[in-house]
Amino acid sequence: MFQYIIKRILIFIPTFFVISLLIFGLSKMAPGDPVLVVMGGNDSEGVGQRSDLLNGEKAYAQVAERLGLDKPAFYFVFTSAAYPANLYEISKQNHRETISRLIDAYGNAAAVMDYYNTLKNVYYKTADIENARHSIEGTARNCMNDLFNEYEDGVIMFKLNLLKDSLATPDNGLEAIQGDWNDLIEKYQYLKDNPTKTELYLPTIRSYGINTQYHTWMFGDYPWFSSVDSSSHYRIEALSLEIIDLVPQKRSLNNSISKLRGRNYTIQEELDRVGTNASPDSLRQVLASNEVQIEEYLSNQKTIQVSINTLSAERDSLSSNLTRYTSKGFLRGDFGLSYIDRKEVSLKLKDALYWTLVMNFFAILISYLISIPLGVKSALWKLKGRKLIDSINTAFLFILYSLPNFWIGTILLVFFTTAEYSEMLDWFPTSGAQDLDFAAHPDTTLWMKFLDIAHHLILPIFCMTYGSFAYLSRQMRGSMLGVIRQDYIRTARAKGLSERKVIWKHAFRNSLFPIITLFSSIFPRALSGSIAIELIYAIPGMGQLALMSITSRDWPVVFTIVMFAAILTMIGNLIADILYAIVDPRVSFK
Amino acid sequence: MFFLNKKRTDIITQSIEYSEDKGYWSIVRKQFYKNRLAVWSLHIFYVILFVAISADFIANERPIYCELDGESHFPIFHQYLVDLGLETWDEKFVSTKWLEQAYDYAIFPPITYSATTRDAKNNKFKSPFGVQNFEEGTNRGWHYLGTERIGQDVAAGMIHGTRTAMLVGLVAMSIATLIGLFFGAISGYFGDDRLKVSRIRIFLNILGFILAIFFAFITNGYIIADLIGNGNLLSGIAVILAWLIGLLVLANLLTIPLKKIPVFSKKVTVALDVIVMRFIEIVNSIPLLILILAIVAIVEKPSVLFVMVIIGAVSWTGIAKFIRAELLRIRRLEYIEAAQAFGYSEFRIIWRHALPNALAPVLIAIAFGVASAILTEAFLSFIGVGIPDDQVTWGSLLKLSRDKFSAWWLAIFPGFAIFITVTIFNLIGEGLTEALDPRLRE
Repeated sequence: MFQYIIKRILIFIPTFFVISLLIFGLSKMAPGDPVLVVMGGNDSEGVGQRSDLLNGEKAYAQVAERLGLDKPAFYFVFTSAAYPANLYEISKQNHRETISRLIDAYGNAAAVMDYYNTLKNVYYKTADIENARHSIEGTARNCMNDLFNEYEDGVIMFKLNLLKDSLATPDNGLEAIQGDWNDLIEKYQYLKDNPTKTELYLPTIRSYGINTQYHTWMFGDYPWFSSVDSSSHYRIEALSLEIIDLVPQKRSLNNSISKLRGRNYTIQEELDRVGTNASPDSLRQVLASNEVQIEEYLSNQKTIQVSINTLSAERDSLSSNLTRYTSKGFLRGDFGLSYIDRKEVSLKLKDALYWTLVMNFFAILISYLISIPLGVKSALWKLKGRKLIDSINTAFLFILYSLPNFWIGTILLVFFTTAEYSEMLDWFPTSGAQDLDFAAHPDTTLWMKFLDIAHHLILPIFCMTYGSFAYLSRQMRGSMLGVIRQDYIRTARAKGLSERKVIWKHAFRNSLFPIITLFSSIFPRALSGSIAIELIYAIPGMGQLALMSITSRDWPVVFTIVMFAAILTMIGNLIADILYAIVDPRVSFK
Repeated sequence: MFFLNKKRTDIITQSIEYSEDKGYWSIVRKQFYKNRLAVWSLHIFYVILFVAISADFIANERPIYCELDGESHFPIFHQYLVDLGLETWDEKFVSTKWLEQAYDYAIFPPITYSATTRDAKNNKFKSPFGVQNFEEGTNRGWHYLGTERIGQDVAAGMIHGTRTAMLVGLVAMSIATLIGLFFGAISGYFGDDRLKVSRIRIFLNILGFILAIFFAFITNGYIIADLIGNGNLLSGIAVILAWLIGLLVLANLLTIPLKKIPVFSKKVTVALDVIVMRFIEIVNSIPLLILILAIVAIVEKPSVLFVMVIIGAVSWTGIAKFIRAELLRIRRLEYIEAAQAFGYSEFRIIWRHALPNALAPVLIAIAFGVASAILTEAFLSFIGVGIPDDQVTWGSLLKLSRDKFSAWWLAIFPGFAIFITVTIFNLIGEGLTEALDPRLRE
């Protein structure tokens, strides 16, 4: 039996990884660009100078790196020979998508990359040009931004020709890129003329080593056995703070200087205009003192600039030497950051788990406490031929079992939580898990706290209880009836044992087996069962968190919850198998 | 007619009991007809099925038959042709609303609203027993079950919701049954020891499978992704299946000449049962509801079809287990040995001889499965995930009641419909369980 348990646990591990792979795959298929979600959805597409564009890209790449998205997805990839191995290095997701779509259409990766790089160069070059005609510049930027996202031939040709025609107009200020644009059109034409579609049908396997997104998500990239040297982290943080302090000083100096310069300019004008007016000396004095002030400010500014430079040089040197860690990994309890509020997923889960656990603890406890005796009792009613009570009981349990809990939840909510129908029916609070803010009222007693929470949770717990209670009772009744027909019960009766002993010592114990196996399905059922109830009664538990994360596309939270539910199901199965093995000596372990 | 009294049921039962037919199915039928509740449920199921099929003729804003400007029309039938792209509507039908036409003569369905017809005069939750406003000169009828916020008729929504619920239940379970039959049959019939295959066949089949995955999901991945993204889920699945079946057939054809080489032709035993059972165990470890939620949320364009396919694709394990258990028993029976002695192919033995005798217990799993599929769909539309916003279902109507507590009709009727449907399928399942249980048979 010990062997059996070990074997069972060994099977657990591959199953866990298969499920983690499935969930990882799903998370990769989730729509939307996580980097943009984290950045708040504002991508600095095509506005500003080259430096702005570069900064925008840098910021994007940094977020991608922090999320671990700059790595290849998996240890190896099974793909066609057409796709280049380093496609993942292109940091923007929409660019990557466009490139792989184009490769999918033409197969010629080299030509596609050539086209993409030319497009990017033109893009930067356009950003460098300052005095272009506004309308043409707008057309150019729109065309290029669209081309970064377009993979359909007709649209690409349309955009290419549109800008070509615009560039042909006289005096547009964008003459510098005309040659590049024609080059780009040629490259696209080359791509279209030289497709290598056969490469798409050649399977290849590419391996990427261990530093991959899946590995980081599951195992993390923090060192396992040595602690991370965080001194340089702190130093970098301190440096950044200092720089942040200095920058406004410099800016305010800048402001004062330009103010003084403006004032000097007006004084100078006054002097020029007035010529030999009343008191030019005093004005000159002001002018001179202002000049001195400006000099002083300028030198101050210079020192600040120097210190900023030294500080940022130190920061850059430190951070270039620093190994960055993305995550500790799922197995070490690091589930990543929520996309929506940047909170740690584990913290969000902890808050939500509290309410779900409280409700499910009572729901499961109550349903087991009622259903086991009721199941035995109702089996006895059937055996003793008490037809009326037996059929009422069976029908009652059956109806309870078939009632969808979200319907009952809604009905109870509609009729018993407001005075909409009658003043007499406003029994329970409409939503939430507690009214009193315990942090704000430290003098609330434990009893008041309990009463408040109980008042809120009675209806939800009822809704979560009745279904499983009816199910368990029916199972218990069925298995009890099955056991009582067995020969060994007849033997026990023949031995002359009292009916009480026969029922409770022989029949009852053996009829518990199905109830034990049901234990395995309780955890996942509790989690998914609470989704609707938590939604109806606005209880901030796991179910509501799962639902809210799904609708707001907060994938790290969603997939952590799915993963947890899967782990709980597996643990439930494991426990049930082991319990079954322990309780029932007839089970063979081969 | 449907709800027979005890006397009539007894007569039917007796006539079945004394019939000449002593086959397995007639015994099952006999047992099943003894359970009056289950028989009732079966009849209610027929009623619901009828409502689902003829939903367009029960609740529709178009008349069944009308005479307008001296011409006769059959607008509901015409709508089918328009949906198929064979016909178009006349200008006068497009410009004026159906219910506001001045017909010479018209036969309307009992409920004169489609599920998405908005009655602007009766919006904002009109009670079935309260005051409802109707304009002169329109053909609008009473809202039997009230309206919701934007004036859609609840009764019409319920009728059309029946169709969605039935479709989801039956289609999802058909998919689940197909998958479950396949896996259950191969793992039960072959077990761990009976499938002896030549090396080359195993190798070529694995190769074919991998190549099919490659061609379908990598070479043509974007084609399939676009098909599914545009809502053509079925064509997407068809492309995948075409690759899979094509390559596997090719692999098996290639086997025939290559088998002549002695090294390749050596037989290897495949422990199919272990593989399938491990697979089922993994599927069972996944919390289905949450998985469905996650998958359905990923799809950018929600559709009921997708929900059906997902529910079907994840709920086949019960059926597979039933079939497997039955076939493990049946494969030891003598008539199977006889069939093998005749030299029939394994496929033919499974399909013609073993499976038909294993099907009865599957009916139980299907009955309960339909109930839970309908419940899952109602749940999904209740929480507003995966069902398109403009689709009216029982769950989406029930959801509306949370917006306005005083609209009791929204809380009562749709939920009751879900409850009744789930209950009758559970009762049918119970009845089948009893009818098929040899311990309970006298």
